[in-house]
Amino acid sequence: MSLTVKKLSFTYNPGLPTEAKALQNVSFNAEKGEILSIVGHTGSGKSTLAMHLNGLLVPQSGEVIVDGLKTDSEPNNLKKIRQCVGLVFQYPEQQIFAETVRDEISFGPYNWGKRGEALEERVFEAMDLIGLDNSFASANPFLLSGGEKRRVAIASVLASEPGYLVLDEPTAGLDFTGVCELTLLLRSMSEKGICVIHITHDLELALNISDRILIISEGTVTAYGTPSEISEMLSNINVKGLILPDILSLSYELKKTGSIENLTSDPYRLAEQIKAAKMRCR
Amino acid sequence: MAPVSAMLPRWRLYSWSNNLMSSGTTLYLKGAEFQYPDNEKKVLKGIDLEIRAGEWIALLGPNGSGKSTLLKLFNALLLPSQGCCFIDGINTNETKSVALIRSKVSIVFQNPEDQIVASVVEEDTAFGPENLGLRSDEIKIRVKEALISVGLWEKRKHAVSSLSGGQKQRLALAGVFAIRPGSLLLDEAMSMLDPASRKSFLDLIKREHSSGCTIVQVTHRLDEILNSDRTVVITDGQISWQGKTENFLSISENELKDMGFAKPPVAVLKEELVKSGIIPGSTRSDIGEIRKKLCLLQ
Amino acid sequence: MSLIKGVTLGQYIPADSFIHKLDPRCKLLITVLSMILIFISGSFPAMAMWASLIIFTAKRSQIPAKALIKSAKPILVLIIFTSLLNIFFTGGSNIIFSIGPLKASVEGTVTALRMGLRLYLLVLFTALLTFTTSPSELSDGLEAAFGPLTRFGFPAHEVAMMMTIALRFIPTLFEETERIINAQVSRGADFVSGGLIKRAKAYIPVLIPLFVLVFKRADTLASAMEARCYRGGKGRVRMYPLTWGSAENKALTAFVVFSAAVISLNRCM
Repeated sequence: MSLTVKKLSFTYNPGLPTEAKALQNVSFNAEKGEILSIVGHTGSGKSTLAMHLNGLLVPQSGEVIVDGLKTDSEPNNLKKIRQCVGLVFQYPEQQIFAETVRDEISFGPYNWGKRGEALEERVFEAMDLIGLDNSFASANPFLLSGGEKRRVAIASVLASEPGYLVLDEPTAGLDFTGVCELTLLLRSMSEKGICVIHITHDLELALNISDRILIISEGTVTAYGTPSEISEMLSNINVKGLILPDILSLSYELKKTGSIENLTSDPYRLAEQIKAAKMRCR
Repeated sequence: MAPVSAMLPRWRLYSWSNNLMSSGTTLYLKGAEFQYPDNEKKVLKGIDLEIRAGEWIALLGPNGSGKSTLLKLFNALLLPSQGCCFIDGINTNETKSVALIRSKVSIVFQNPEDQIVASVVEEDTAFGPENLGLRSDEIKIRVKEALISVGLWEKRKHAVSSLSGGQKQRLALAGVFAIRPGSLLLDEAMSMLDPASRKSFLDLIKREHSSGCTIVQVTHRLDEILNSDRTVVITDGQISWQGKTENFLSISENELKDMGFAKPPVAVLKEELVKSGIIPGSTRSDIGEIRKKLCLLQ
Repeated sequence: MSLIKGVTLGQYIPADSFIHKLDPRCKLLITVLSMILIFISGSFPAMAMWASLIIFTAKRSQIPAKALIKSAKPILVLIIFTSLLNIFFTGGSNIIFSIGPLKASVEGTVTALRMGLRLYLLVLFTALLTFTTSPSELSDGLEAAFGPLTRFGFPAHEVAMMMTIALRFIPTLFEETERIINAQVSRGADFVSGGLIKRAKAYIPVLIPLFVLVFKRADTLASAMEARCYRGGKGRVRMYPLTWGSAENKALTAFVVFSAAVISLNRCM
């Protein structure tokens, strides 16, 4: 049971003067229970990739397979796939339309055919997961704070009990407390066995919270691996549009001169290594 | 996108000659309170704040603390319901001075889409000067300067819809530059940008500041405020912390976390290295400076 | 997203031509005059003259023939429909053929052809205007043209500014609508199955967020415009002020002479 992308390519407006290659030969695999971050700059194709994961876009070549089902097959499969892969768009609070939080969150499961008690159960489970207590159920979502609105929007996707949760830039516009809450949430999702696919332009955040990272640039995969493997790889390649975290790039320089041994993006670890190097010098 | 450094020498030719020499504006709030008409809750509760000409202020605070409202007081988009606000000594509640105040104090908002008016790059940049009623050749000069300085001169005839998010935000900045304000207010202006665009945007702000412009920057991210002179934290409509930015950044990680801020890794590194006596305590929390100090030691 | 990157500014085709550079007021005036004249001068030779003027203008302003032909496509149906009506309902004695009670006469066919051609020429004239004039020039031109009406309370500046903003936001709103639709489809929304009412209802989750977004956007845009010293049309100038010079005089004179020739030709026939 996994989500597999094989040699996926996609071009907007093929054959027209406005033709734009968005994805070229992208392959990767996402397992249940992990956090996979897809990192790329604006226009790298990461949002186009996201829309392929639940069949909003269908591959022009290559394939996307979710739990054995291909996204370009019959409509019935597509329905199953959309239920299975929850997609949280950037600024998801902008999709809110219902009069109460309960109605908003039940939109997904209702569309997938849940009714009555089963529906109610889904709504409260989702609210529980996202840390909204039951008193919110009858609140007007439009009157909530920005952070709360975002949680309602994410809960509305979680209510469909997806096995894969794809989030596009979920921390955008949140303050630090909001970012912390959200990253904790992603971690707890993955611990519950959900595969979390986190799409971001923030490499630093990705290095801190992911199990694996996929770096995409101009529609192609430039690096794929665990955070420490990625740190290693990025010292050798230059990815267009990708800004390295300050600490990481300083650690590259120091490693090159032989002052430290391990690459890191953690300031404490880097400081320790510098201290150790100083001790050795003396 | 051309690197900002590559544009510098050319830009110098079109430097803000007469205007920037006269440097930034002073912004002054005295006992300012604000309350929206149909809401009992006060958004701002008695703010006293003096911002000197050419100063760079970082204005921090959790979501909904009143930072954005405060910015709007500075260019008379809102008027204080109690207390007063002065721009270069002019009270913002003088109706006849509103135009003058807005030509001195400009604001860049979070989402570039919300502040671009025209469909073509150069036409949007001209919007401010056109409203000021300047002569046509003066407008053309200002538009050219502003677009060159943000690196969009080559795209002056392009459709706004063909620009990327980062380019759009730089266009919003050009539209403000063309007004030649003495101070620049940034309302989370970098929060929608990716790291590369954020860096080039921040470089533009640094350059504006070094030529004398007053900067007031609202943000959540402490890694954007490393260049500011002073930090002001607003909590629940009041100033809860105020002081030199370097002092703010040396507050411990946990304490900052309680205040709702992430300590920038660079500041953490600096602190650790200072603690163990590897670099001097006077080092700024800046990766370039730390690097230099480390090189000197080797 | 990029799906609608192809949406251009109206139909404007930028080029460096004499006609592109003409004052928009001049082009508006000529377009309106020619519309009236085409209706007055209905003979086939006169219309041939108009057609040749259109071809000449398109050549001079480097508008590709393809674009010109395509521009009339959306209302071709309308043209054909009105022509059919004319064929069958004009009446006349020389019947060519009949379908049931409908009789097509020679007179009817001629009228139909004439009407169809007229409409087609009108469309081509307006297309030429939008091909050679950028939207902002056009709104400037309209603002100036309706300027005298402000005395009677007509908000000429406001209408022009609304046009500018609308054009600016069409691509943005396209993108936003697409994103909201995608978000709701991802949550299982179904816009295709069911009856008309069910399908209309399915759009509620798209329309409400869109309205909310548009109002928010309008609010910030208003603040941003005010912050950029906007105070309505008063005291506002343009970077490229409209200038009526010798080029405009020449163009207008040439057009008047041409029209006079066409009208006299029309009379003689």
